[in-house]
Amino acid sequence: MSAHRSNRPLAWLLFGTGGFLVAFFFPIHIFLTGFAEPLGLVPTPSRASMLTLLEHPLTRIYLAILLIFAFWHAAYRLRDTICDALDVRRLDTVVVSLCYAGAMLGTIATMVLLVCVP
Amino acid sequence: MSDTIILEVARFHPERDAEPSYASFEVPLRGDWMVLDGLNYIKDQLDGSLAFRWSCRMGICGSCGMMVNGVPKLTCETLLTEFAPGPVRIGPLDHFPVIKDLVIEMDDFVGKLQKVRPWIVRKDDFQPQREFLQTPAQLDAFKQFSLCINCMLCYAACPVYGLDPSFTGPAALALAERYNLDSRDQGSAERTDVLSQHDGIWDCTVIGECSVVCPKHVDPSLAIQQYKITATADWFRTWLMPWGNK
Amino acid sequence: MPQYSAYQPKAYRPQMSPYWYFDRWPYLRFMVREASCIFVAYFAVVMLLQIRAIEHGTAAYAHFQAWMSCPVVMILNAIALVLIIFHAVTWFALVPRVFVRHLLGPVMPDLFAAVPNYGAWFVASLVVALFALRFI
Repeated sequence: MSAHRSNRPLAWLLFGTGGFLVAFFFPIHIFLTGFAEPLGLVPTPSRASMLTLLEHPLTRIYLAILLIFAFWHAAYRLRDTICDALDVRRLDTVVVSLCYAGAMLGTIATMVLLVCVP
Repeated sequence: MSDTIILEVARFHPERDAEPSYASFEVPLRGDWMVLDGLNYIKDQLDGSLAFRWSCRMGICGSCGMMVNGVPKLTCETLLTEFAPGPVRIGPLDHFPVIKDLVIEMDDFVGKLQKVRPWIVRKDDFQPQREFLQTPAQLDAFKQFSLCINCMLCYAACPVYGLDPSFTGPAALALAERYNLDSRDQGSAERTDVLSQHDGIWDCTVIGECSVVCPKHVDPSLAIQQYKITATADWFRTWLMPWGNK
Repeated sequence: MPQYSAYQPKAYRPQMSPYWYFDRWPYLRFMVREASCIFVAYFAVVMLLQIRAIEHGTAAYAHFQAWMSCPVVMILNAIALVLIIFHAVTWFALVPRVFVRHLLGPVMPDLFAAVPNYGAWFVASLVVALFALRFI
């Protein structure tokens, strides 16, 4: 019976988890990296201290979870948005492939960058 | 305030029109008149050929749903003075085929209501000697979703249904969830095959307008999102424990 | 559905406009909320670039900082910040109440499910800021 059912639940779970993580953690990252540091509102840490932070396994786990779920969240929402905004529901298979290929690329890039920290 | 208001009413004559057009009628603007009273004034005094559905005129039968200035409303519950000085544009409910003037064809909606099996399903042969007892908490779990009057305003408000008429839609999905949450019902598995499809709950993108326009505060959007959690848990159970009883 | 003959009138089937989301303000608000996902992907890529810059040396890191200061990027980041905050606010209003309802039933007004998320959001932001600014 399950073969007749949609496999959306898995994608939806990733979307939901990503939604919470993005909501809680992205705004502060954007504010710090995008505004507070470039505009000098806060002192920009040195590369050396950032590298020390990045080398810590917990930092890498946090970033991996945050970024990977962010990509899968964006892919799910983007698929629905493209189909509804551009009225291309008949091309759903193409849109799904593009969105989730993008999420896969993002996931791989994240894993590569966070596993091999020099 | 003027004592009349212009109503621009959609007219469609299926035997000669290719598409609807709007005709203007001037009706009295009385403080206690609803849009439906204005339409009945038109039919009684100005143009008897205007076709529209209405019945109870008190917001419980769900017959008089129409688009009023682009928003789906029950015309028996919408005051004319809300739109003064006018004009007020009245059209048939969006996303449904139009039979004549303000009358829409609702076969699709009725078919979807039937599709979700909106009745108590029992797996056993239990013949109760008295009514099923439910605690207030068990009733509260589904009561809100049982208040639907089948007025179809939610379908008119839902762009997903407009883009994809195969979408089961807010009212049908809320009704299915009403039975799934009912402690007397044992038919969740049967309904899951209908609900957990691409055109079941997963077509819903949480626009939320269905809940905004609902005159009975059923909140179908909440029912659909609640069912997404159930369907997801069910999906994982099916994949991780396929030997479980279905 | 009855089959219509040539002499029987046909119902009018309206077509939805492809620009339907410009028709009403709630639909436009919905589309803007959904479009935030583009900027989620954008900023996730920015964060990957930041990680890469930290890993590739001081010069790369300085180059990344300079890139963050350029006007086009600042405008994109501003849009991303506004849209992702909009996503967060709409998310807290819509999602927690579903889980509360599902697990506990209709025991509290929707607002009570939304408000604790703002507290969690503040704490999460504070913790991230303390680490990212190397105060810890």
